[in-house]
Amino acid sequence: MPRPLQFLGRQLLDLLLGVLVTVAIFLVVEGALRIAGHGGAEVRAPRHLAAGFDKNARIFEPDTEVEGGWRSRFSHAQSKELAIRPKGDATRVLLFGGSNTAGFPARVLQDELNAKNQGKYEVVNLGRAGYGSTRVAILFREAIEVLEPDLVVLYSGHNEFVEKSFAMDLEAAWDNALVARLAGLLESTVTGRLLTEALREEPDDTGAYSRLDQWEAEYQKFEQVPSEQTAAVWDAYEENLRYMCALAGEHGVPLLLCAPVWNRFSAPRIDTPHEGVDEAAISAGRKLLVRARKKYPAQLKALLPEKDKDRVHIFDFGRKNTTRTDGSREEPLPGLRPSVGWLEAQIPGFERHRHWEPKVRAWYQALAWLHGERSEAEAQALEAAKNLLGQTAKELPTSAIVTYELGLVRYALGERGPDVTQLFWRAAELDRAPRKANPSSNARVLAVAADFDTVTLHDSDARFVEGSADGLVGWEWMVDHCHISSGAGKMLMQDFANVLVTLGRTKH
Amino acid sequence: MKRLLRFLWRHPLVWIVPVLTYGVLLVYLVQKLASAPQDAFIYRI
Repeated sequence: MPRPLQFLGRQLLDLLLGVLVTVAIFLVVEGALRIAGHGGAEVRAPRHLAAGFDKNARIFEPDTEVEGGWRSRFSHAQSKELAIRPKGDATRVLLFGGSNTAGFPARVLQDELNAKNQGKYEVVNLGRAGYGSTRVAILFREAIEVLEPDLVVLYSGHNEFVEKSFAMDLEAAWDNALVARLAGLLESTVTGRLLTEALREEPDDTGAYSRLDQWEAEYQKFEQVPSEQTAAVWDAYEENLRYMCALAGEHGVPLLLCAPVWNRFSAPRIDTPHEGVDEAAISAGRKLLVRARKKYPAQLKALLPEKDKDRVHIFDFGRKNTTRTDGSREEPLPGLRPSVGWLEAQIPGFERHRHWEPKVRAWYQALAWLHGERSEAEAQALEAAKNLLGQTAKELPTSAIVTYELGLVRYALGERGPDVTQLFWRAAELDRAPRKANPSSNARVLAVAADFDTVTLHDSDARFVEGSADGLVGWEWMVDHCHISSGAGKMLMQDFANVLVTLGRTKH
Repeated sequence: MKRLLRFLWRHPLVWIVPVLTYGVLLVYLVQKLASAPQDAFIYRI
């Protein structure tokens, strides 16, 4: 054999030996760590890399202390893990969805169901904050097999862009697919997990306000998203819903599919690019919008925060306001319109407003102004703004923000009726990256529900439209763009119970 | 010991591969994993 070939052969053998030595060292360390007791389930969970997106990850594992029971390992920051009892005689109801679902008073639903039926019900809340339909579907598939539900409720649709944003950030964290793959392999080992844990800084989850400045960047990610991309997100949402409906059908489990409630009086996020118009029209439209905004009364401006940190979010209502211990009632809130129909005599759940952040009080004062009477000067200014916005809308017909502001100005002028209502609906529909359900997403829910015999539709949004003045669901029952208030949650649970009880009978 | 050292001197790939793997690749991957985004508050509202 020629000498160069001999040399190459020797080097290849050395390389192979080097790889073997590397693997051997790793296996020795890994084995030693496992023998030392570091190989528990919490270490095996591929938590950081997958963050709920791993279709192969097992979220539930048998409870070692309770035979037949299950324990979750979501490893989801701040969410509690669940211990699920062994499946007994009770009709088991599983709730799936995002943060709204996570906040549903499952006990209220369980009590309602038990009060309505002689059977026994057990409600397990599998809602997880931030989960969109992709991660809900992964959880759904495992839960329906493992937890043997008799009924399932699916309330998902607000988080499609929240979840997409998180997936984008996860993807961006890796230089390429090979690195992601290698990191995934490493994370599935005890050694990798322990090393990662040692280097990881604890996430700052304590003060919501400290991070609100980051939220601008969060929304800017979706600027210039063309409408086809927004539609593609809703397509994926519909596909996930269909997947879950089919899965429930295969397991013979009746599914209650909900069209989530969304707030009409919450401004859209992103309305660029302006499609189908030229640069001159965009420029003209922007100038008109600036002129219109100069006419807005101060209280109207307060309802149109420029920065995301100035918007009202669920946590601004105070985290400690869920229980009132002294039994006292606070003054009625300004800014709440009387509800109608089935919600007429109900309490929205805002009676604990002593814990509110000052910006929430200011917000409700501005709402009180919006729903109230106009002075002559205000009416004149609003009329001028309305005319300018009308011209703006002609220049920028696909602008969610212009459409919304036109709706708000006309509402502030006291105009009511289908034309004005339609502007709020259209504005939500035009939002390129909504953080809430909207007419487009809920239309898909309705279409999916109609295609499955085992699926029952709960048009939660339509129910709150029925109960809201002028059919405009607003801050009477909502605490931000997508979250319902505690009072609304109770009403929704009662409503669910009425339907679920009939589905339970069908099954047994 | 002397024989081992002589072996390693004559076959550098046997020790260069593990040193590079642990010194560069492992450290890089672990650091990447540690800084990967978590399902933090910003994604949950």
